[in-house]
Amino acid sequence: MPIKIKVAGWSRVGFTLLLLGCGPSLAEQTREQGALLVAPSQEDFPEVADALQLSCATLDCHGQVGRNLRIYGFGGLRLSDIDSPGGDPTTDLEYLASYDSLVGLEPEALSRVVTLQADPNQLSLVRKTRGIEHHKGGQRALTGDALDRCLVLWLTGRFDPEPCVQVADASHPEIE
Amino acid sequence: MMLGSIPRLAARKVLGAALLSAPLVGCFDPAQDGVVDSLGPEAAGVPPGPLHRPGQPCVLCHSEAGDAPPFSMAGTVYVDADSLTPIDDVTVTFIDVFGQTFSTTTNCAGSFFLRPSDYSWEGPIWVSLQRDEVLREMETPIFRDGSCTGCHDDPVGPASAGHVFLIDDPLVEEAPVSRCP
Repeated sequence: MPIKIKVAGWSRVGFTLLLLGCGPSLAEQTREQGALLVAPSQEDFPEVADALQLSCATLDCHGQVGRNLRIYGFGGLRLSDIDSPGGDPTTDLEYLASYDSLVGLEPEALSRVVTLQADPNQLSLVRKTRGIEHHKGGQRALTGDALDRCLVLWLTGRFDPEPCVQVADASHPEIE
Repeated sequence: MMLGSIPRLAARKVLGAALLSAPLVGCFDPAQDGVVDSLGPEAAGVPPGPLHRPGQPCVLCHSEAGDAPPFSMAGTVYVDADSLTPIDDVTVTFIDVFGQTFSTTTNCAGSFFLRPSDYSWEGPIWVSLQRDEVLREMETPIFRDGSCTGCHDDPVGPASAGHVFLIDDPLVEEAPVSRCP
């Protein structure tokens, strides 16, 4: 017995086109967009990663392999089996792996922020860091503070190492 | 007519029981249950209490989701990196993002625990250990996990810092001596 699908109006047209294969395939769309995508500077990323290390990349947060945003480094998750947290400094491969993870989160939105100076709040990364979007780790930065400037200036192609160094050098607070 | 109503009544009862028990069933977390099961039974001769299960992820059970009184933070401190000799009387001090501090002391199993009524912290929280002249500060803060073992499990590896310890090397530094009977 044939299956009868009821499709009305414009949906019928779309459905027909879909059946005929007139629209670009998902793979074609991805290729088309992928060719235009731009990511923030990889060269400047180590300073940003060092700032994120203490704020985001501990083993109980983004220093876990189960996370979409996965940050490797000296204070948390290590890339090599022979390294351990709290051991040797972050390696170049770890910076690269963290960079790949970060820029792969929302590549299209990220590209708009980098190239068109779009509002950084378009990125879940920034919204979560600023506490605008629910974040299990809570609000990690206020708009304009050192961590926020480190991250956002890098994302928007205006990298300034000073706020990144400021965050990375934050020491264990003194207990009175 | 009467015969037909009996199965209907039974079906209603079954449905009612299912609906009533649904919230209870929803409370079980198979992932958490699996991890708890993997910890095994209590050690022989150590009843549930402050000295039981040293080195295990305390907050797994001692939480709202668990079946033991909730802890906001708990763990076990050992003498050094290479041994599993627990050390008592270590002052464990916490300072959270708002500058709230709290100190507690490890017991004879090397364990400490904080109840939410003692100290309800907001991450990042920094921790230091002190026993007499020996002071050890954690290099990175804690953000989420109240169980030290969550990150400090053995063996040391790419995703674990190994157990919490007080001195680096007992051959170089003087190892603290237990004051427990």
